[in-house]
Amino acid sequence: MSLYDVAKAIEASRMGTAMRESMYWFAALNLVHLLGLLIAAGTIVFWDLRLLGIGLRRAPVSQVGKSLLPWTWGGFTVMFLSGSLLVAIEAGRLYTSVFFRIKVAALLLAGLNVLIFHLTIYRKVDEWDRAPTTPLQARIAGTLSILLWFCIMAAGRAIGYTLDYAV
Amino acid sequence: MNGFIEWCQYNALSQFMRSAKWPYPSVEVLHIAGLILVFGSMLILNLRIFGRILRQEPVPQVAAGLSAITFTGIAAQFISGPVLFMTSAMKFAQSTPFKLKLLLLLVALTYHFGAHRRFALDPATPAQTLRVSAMASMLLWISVVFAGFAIELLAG
Repeated sequence: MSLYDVAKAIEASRMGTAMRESMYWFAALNLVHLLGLLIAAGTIVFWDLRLLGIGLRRAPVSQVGKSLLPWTWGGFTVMFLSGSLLVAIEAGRLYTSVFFRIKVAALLLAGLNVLIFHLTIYRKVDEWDRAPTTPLQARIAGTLSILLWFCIMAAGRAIGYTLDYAV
Repeated sequence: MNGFIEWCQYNALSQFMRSAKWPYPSVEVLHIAGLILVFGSMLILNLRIFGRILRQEPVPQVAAGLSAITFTGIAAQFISGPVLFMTSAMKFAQSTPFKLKLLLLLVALTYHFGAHRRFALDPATPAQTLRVSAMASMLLWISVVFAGFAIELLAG
């Protein structure tokens, strides 16, 4: 059984079908997904901008990070759960969607970017917490994060315009 | 008014927006990017006022730091929004959620620049006033987002 078969089976499952056939589920899940996005992306972008020395630059880097992180995770959790249900509604068609693949790839790269950042330059944050200019590596991580999240959001929007909804 | 709506619907830019599949979603992506900046800066400012984040930083300093990003987001919204409107001007002009959104947006912007931003930038504003104002600000912006979401939902 290939991953595509699994995806089709999820789409055809009782839950997938019930949500697909209800007008309210799809709209409600989309709205929850958007609110999760606004909280997650809204905090991520201000953290990235701080790494670039823009916005909340008078606050120490580590304090901005520590402060915003729980909100980012909260928004991300809401986004991930609502997103998973949205995937279940049309898993079979999403499997073949190029924009869905771009979105998943960008999401994984964004995660990798966070991991590399935390394992390297952020370990020495004490040295540049209040520095007027942040280190180059931190600025690269911030820029990549903004670009990848823009990609995730744009690909997500493109999915909505390219899939044929059988509603 | 009808002449204006017709101009919106039939001008060259509007025709270009309808000439292919991709222009509308592309401008919509810019609109959401701007929304993230505006909503994100309101969220951070108001969370700070409620004492949930950046407790060591004074509120006026946070408000001042966010200001340029809020303006950037509003600029992106004010460019992308009218272009999206023009694409289907006649449809949107008759849409109740659209009218509601314009009204809420007008109230939210007036409230922000007329009151909330001034309260936040002034170190002498009593904490209680600031918190009530932050609550009003959050409710207004969330209602703008809800109305914006409803436009597309009810447009079908």
